[in-house]
This record gives sequence, C-alpha cells and structure tokens, in this order.
Amino acid sequence: MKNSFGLYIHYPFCKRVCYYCHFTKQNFDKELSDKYIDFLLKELELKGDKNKIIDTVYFGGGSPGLIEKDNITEILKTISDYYTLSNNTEITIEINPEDADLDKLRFLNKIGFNRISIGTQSFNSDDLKYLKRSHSAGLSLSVINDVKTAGFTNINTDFIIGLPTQSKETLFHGFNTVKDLAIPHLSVYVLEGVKEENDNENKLDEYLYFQTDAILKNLGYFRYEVSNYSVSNYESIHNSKYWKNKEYIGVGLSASGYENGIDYKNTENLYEYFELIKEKKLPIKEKSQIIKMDRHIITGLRTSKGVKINHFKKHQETLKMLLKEQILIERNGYISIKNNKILLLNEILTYFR
Amino acid sequence: MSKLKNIRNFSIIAHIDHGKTTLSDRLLEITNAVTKRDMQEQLLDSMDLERERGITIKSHFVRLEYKDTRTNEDYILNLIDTPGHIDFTYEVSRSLAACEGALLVVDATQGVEAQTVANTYLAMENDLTLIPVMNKIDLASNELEKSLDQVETVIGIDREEAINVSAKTGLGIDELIPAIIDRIEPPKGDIDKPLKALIFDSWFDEYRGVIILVKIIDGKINKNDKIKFLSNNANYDVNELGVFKPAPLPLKSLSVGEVGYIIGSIKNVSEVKIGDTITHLKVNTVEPMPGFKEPQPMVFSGFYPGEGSSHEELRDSIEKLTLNDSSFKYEPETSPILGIGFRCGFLGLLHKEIIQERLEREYDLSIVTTAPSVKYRVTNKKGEVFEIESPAGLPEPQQLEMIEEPYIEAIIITPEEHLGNIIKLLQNRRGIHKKMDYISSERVHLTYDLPLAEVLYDFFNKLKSISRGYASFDYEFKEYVESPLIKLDILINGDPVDALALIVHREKAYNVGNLIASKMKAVIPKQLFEVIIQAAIHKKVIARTVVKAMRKNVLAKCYGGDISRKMKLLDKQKKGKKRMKRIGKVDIPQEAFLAALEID
Repeated sequence: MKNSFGLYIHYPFCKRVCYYCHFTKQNFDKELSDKYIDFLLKELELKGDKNKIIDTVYFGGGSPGLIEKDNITEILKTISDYYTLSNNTEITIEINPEDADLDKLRFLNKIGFNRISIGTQSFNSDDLKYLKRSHSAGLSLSVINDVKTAGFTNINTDFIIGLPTQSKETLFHGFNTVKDLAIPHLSVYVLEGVKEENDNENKLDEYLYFQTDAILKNLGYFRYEVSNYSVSNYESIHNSKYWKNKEYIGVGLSASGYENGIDYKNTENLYEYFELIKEKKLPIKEKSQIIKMDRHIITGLRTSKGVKINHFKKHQETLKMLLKEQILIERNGYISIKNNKILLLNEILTYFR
Repeated sequence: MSKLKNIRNFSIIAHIDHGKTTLSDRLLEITNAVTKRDMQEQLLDSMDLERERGITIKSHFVRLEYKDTRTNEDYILNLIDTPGHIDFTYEVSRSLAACEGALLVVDATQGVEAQTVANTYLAMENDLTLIPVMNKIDLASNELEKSLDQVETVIGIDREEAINVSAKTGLGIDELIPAIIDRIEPPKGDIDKPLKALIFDSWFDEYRGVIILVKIIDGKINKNDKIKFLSNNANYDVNELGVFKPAPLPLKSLSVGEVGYIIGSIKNVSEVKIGDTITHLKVNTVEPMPGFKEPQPMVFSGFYPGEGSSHEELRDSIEKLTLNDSSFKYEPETSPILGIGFRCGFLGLLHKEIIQERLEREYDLSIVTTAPSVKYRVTNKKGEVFEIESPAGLPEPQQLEMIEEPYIEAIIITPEEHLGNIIKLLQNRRGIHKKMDYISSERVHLTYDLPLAEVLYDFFNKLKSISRGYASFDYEFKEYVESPLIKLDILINGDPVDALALIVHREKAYNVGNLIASKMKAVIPKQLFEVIIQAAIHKKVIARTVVKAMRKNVLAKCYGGDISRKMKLLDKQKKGKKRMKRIGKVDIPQEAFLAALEID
C-alpha cells in the first residue's frame, strides 16, 4: 500500500502584519504575490510525484485568503496534475474575516475546499483592539454566516488567549458564541513571545488556559492537542499528521515537510526562494533526521491520546519517575501528559532529549 | 663544552602583570634568538590559556648567546622562566634553585607587590643575586622614586643598583645584559665529579613524550648515558639532550653549569619529580639536592560529569591532562547523589580553575565540580588520626575528638587607605595578625596566619574589591591547627546531598547556612518540581528556602509542522542544562554547588 501524504502550501502575504505572529509573512504586494504564485507552481512541478497520494491539503500563511480565484484554481489543478489526490481529501484554507466575501467563499467551496479556518481570534472588541486586528467581532459573525451559506460545515475558528483584557466571563461569552453557531473546531493559542515572561503573566496564561479547557469541555468540545478542540470526528486530519509522525510535504516559502524520516524546511528568504527555483532546485534550506522514537515522543506528547509506551524504551527511568510524580499518565498503553501539567510540555520534553 | 665563567643562569621574577613576559621577549630579541618579525607576542607562554590569563603555567627556559662587546667574550645566558602564580611556590623555588641570579621586575607604576616579596624570599633562600628592574618607566603614571623606596625597604638593595627600563619600548634594555654578566656569579661545580643534575621542570610533549629540564650541578651527561633518579632509583636511557634557543637544538652532551633538556625512556610525567636529582646509573656517591619535596595538593574538589558527558569521557580526559601536569592528583570518588566521579587535588584554587577550564575547553566536557575543600586532620575518640579531603568523610560528632585544619602564612601588600577594610576582612576570615610594616610612607606589608579554608571562599575577589584592585596577596603553607569545626549539611527536597556539605567554623555555621540557602535559591532555576533547600547541623534544620515549581513552558503552536524548529528550541533549553546535575528529580546547576564560595 502506498503512503498517503499531507500537503502544506504556504502563502506569505498579509494585508496587515500581526505583531504576535511568528510565521514567515510580509505585506501584500500584487506584483510580488503574482510572481510568488508562479514560483509556487514551479516548485509543485519540480517536486511533484504522481506516485504520492495526497489525502490532505492545507493552505496556510500569511493570508492565503488573499490568493485570487484564478490562481487558486491553478494551484489546485497543478496539485492534481503532479500528485494523486485521494477521493476524500481534506482541503483546508485559512481565511481572515476581512479577506472573505460570500462570492469568494462560494467559489472556494465549489472548486473543492471542504474545510475553512477563520482567523477570528476573539469575539471581544477589547481583545481585538489589544491584538491590533482590523476586523470587528460583528464582521467575524457575518463571515461565519457566509461560510455556512457557502456550504461549509467543517469550520475552525482561531482564538488567542493570555490577554490582559480577558477574564473567565469574556472567554465564556466567546466560546459560547462558537457553540451557538455550531462550529465544530477551535484552535486556542496562548499569546507567546511578545509579553514579558514573568510570574504574573504566566499565572494569567495558566488561569486562562485552564478556564478555556473547562469551559470548552462543558460546551462539548474535547481537547485532542495542546491547543486544539473539536466535537467528535471533526479533528483536523491535516494538522494531526504533525503530531502522529505521519508524512507531509511542504511547498512554498518557509514550508516544512517530513518525508522518508527526514524533516526539511524551505528557505525563509523570498529572493533565495525565487533564485533556487529559477535554477530548478528545490528551495530546501535545512534537513535533519530525528530519531524516530524521539520524534514520536516530541510530537505525540502534544496530543491527548499520547504516545505508545514502547517508544519510551530509551527513557525507562525518566518515564518511571515522571509517572510516579504524576506528570505523565498511562492509559491503554499510551503515555500522555496529565491534564494539569500540559503547560509544562517543553520542560517535560527536555527530560527526553 | 662551555667555560663556567662564561655561563649565567638567571630567572625573571615578578608580580603578575608586571611585565615579565615582555621583558623575556626583549632579551630574546637583543640576543637575536628570534627576529622581531618571527616573534609572536609573549613567546615563552605557549598554551592559549596562559596567553589568555596572562600567566605562565609551565616554566621553560631559553639559552641566549651574547658577545660582550666590552671584552669580546662569548657568553651563554640561560633564562629560566618561572610559573607566575602563587599556587606554584614549590615549582618556582626549584626553578630558582637552578639559577645563580634573578631579575626582580617591579612595575614602577604599581610598586612592590605581595608576589614580589614572596619571590624575593624564595630567591634569598636560594642565595640568588638579585638585580632590581624597574619596568614601565615609559608610562607617565610611573612612581619610580616611590617604587625604589620600596625596593630598598623590602629587598634591602640600594636604589643605585636598580635598572630602569621599559620592556615595551626597549628603553634601558641595553644595560640589562652587561649587568647580568657583571653582577650574577657564574655557576659553581666540578666537571670531574660524578654527574649531579637538578630537575626543575618537566612536561609531556605529544610528539616527544616526557621532556625534563635540568641544570648540571657537577659532571657531565652524554647522549645514550644510563641515568637514575635519586628519589625513587628509577633508571632511564638518555635518548636525546640539548638546549632551547628557543627552538630545540640537540647536543652531544651537557656539562657542569649548563641548563638543558633531556628526553629519556620515560613513559609518564608522574615518574618525574620536580626538585629530584639525577646521576649516572652506577654512581652511588651523589647526595640529593636539598629542598626536594613531593608536590602536595592543598585544595580538593569533586569532579563529576555534567549533563551530556559520561564518566568514561571525564576519566579519559583527566588521564590525558595528568600527562602534562603531575601536580594534579585524582582518585575515583563515588557520591550517592552525583554518581561516579573523581576527587581531585590541586596546588591551589587557581590551579583547580585552570584544570577545570582545560577539561571543558580542550576536551569539550560538561563538568560539575563541588565546592573546594582543604585536607583536614581528624582524630576520633579511639585516638586514631586520619586525613579527610571532603566533608563527607567527617565522622559523626559523637565519634569525633578533634579536627585540625591547615593554616597558611599570608603576605598582603596594600596602600594604607585600604588597611582598615583589609584587616576587617582578615579578622572575619579568622586571621591571626603577625606583623605589619610600612614599606614606604603609604604602603603597608601585612603578615597574617590564615586558615587555608577561608581563602577558598571568595577571598581573592573580596580582597580585590575592597582595595579596588590595589592589594596583592601571596601565601605559603604553615601548619595544622586545631579548630572548632562542624559539618554543615545541605538538603535538597529532604535528602542530604553529600557533595554540598561543608565544614565550617562553629560560630559561623548559622550565618553560612542561611546565606547558602538563599544563594542557592537564587541560582537554581524553576523547573517541573519544587526545590526545597535546607541547611542543617547535626540533623537540625537551621535554614530553608524554596524554589517554586515552574508554571508554564510550552509552545502553543506547532508552526505548520516545523518539528526541527521545535527540536532546536528543545536543544537550546537542554544546552542551558549542560553544567547541571540531576539530583533525584531536580536539576541543580553548577553555581549552586559553588554557592558556598560566594558568600560572606
């Protein structure tokens, strides 16, 4: 049986760059964007392999919602020309409320997208102001409405927590709205790397994180990864590949991939990206091989299900200690992080390096 | 063979940074031993570390050839370099024993310092002729007259005899060599007597094996001779001998009065003892040179592999290091907490730091070291006397009769304005006042007896900071003295950590316990688990601090499957743990093991 792959497509342009975002992105420029799409198509052609079956496609960014209709059609066509798309491929696109309109959404649905991830961030105007977002909560609500009208049911909304403007009550209000709108999936990220990491900030993060967890649980969402919640059968198939040591192909500026046991990452420099592809070279900047068992632990401990216990062969003593100390727990042959210790993930992982 | 009367053996002795190395370079240059262009700065210091710290760790010598234009006579001038740090007093004294004279270099901008005094004493013990050399007179800030006053007071040499130079610019250097020839005696000795040679240095050369430096006291040594060491009767073949000019120059023989190197069938540098006497295998009539001692480690510390280094790597690296440093001793030590490591003995604190740094730098090891300790002499209730090198070896109080600790005689020279603070420091460190002299109107020479243990705890830095860098210090071991000492235990999460235990003076124990507990709290990072630090005497807790458990350390996002980014982050975090040791379930950084050193 042939392996099936995820395919990540990166689009690095945004109308407005958010200060808290750590992805590779820059301000939108029509000419540059057109050129980028050209090269993206060339990369797909260079890299494509009809023997590879693709069962998830994910357009991330940046703001891939800005890609024009023709270009999107072209990209999808190139993907299906150079790879083999499976029947029920999950095809996701990230979209910002300010970049979406009903016409575009209908188009996306028609050409095959079946999952949408909306950059809501919050339904609270103080939060949005703190995040310096240009959209309002009202716009998010109307876009969600349009997304549904366009025919999407598999919808994710992004949230950011850890803001000084937030409280248990505002969080509840936001998440309850999501529930009322029957949205099946949420990604809830703790704002990181922009605040001073002191005890008080950490206490606030910790408080808001566990409030989020409790509220969403009550509303019927379960956490299947550090930052991802869904109702049953609506987990992101694409993102799950990252945590289950499944293979994925990365295409576009700064995109990462994992194939044949090798992790690779494309260049983050746009001009280098152009140059390499011009020379008919893959724009890969780094490659590394991570011991498989270690990779299982490092990615798998993010998930609620956890990591098969036999991947801990090298770390028997550490495992025993962390189980005894109730940092980790064992369930049905899987090791996972105890719920209340999940925010210590990185510290826990250093015990396995 | 050179005529005795045309040989001069001399050394340059100086306080650290007073310009010894620059002056040596200048002498090499004017005798054309090296051209200016070939000369690396500070030629005699060969190891990187020496260059970095500005000190000479291994002594070397160089043979200079000079035609005295006054008489047209050819001279051989053997410049014997000495280690520049106070931990190496014995090695310095043996190098001086190979000389008939010494240049006593004094930085005229600084004046006479403690090492100048200590080295002067050593030179006098060896009956050396001293030529005071006042250096750095090119600097506007020099205080030549005051420095000369101090030379008269401390060394008792008339100021007229001093030669004023700038080793840096070359000013006055021309006068030096004639003064060496005129004032320093040629070596004495008898070519017809049996071979007698003094070993004053040795080291391990990666390509040539063990190299020893000798001075021929009597007789003559030839290539292929069979020789023996008097201390242990070990015998060897002389495979090569010669001199350094400074490049090695093999010769057929070395004769009375000469200084040179010998490469023999010697496997390990530990077989060679500085100060030992060499003679021919069949000779039984030669008396050993006086002053020979086995090197005695004074300071002890446990060395354990840190995160990411193994015991085997540490052992191999230590073994390699001892090949060229025989004064550093080690034996296996097992700590219930730290695992398998080594108890290492050093000549002093700086010696320890040098060894540790070399292990880390040259062998890329992660090492955790325990707080240094002196060697205590313990008498138990049964009247048995034994020595302990680590607090863990101290018997329970009910079995203990008496503890004695080593005292040193310390020399401190300081500008008068800092005298009050320095005396306070010395009293605080249990010092006993012995002598105080004014060596000039504003410089004071103090002699104190001090427990060596007190010097290990941040004494140098304290002395430096309270005197704004102007006080200098030197010491020599004096004697063992009974003291009211007790063991201070440090507990981590309830378990005593042997490697953290200390022996302290009874009256200081409470204070030290409190300071250590708070210092450790400050240096132990937050981690998965709470860390409770306690100090205890006889199981009674006297101080307690807590490092609370970490709250958050997570990357909320997976960044588009960028696992290598995540790996890098983890590895960076892991690297931060390099010089840490896991005790039970918590990681204790190196700084915490040395917390005791930084309190007062």
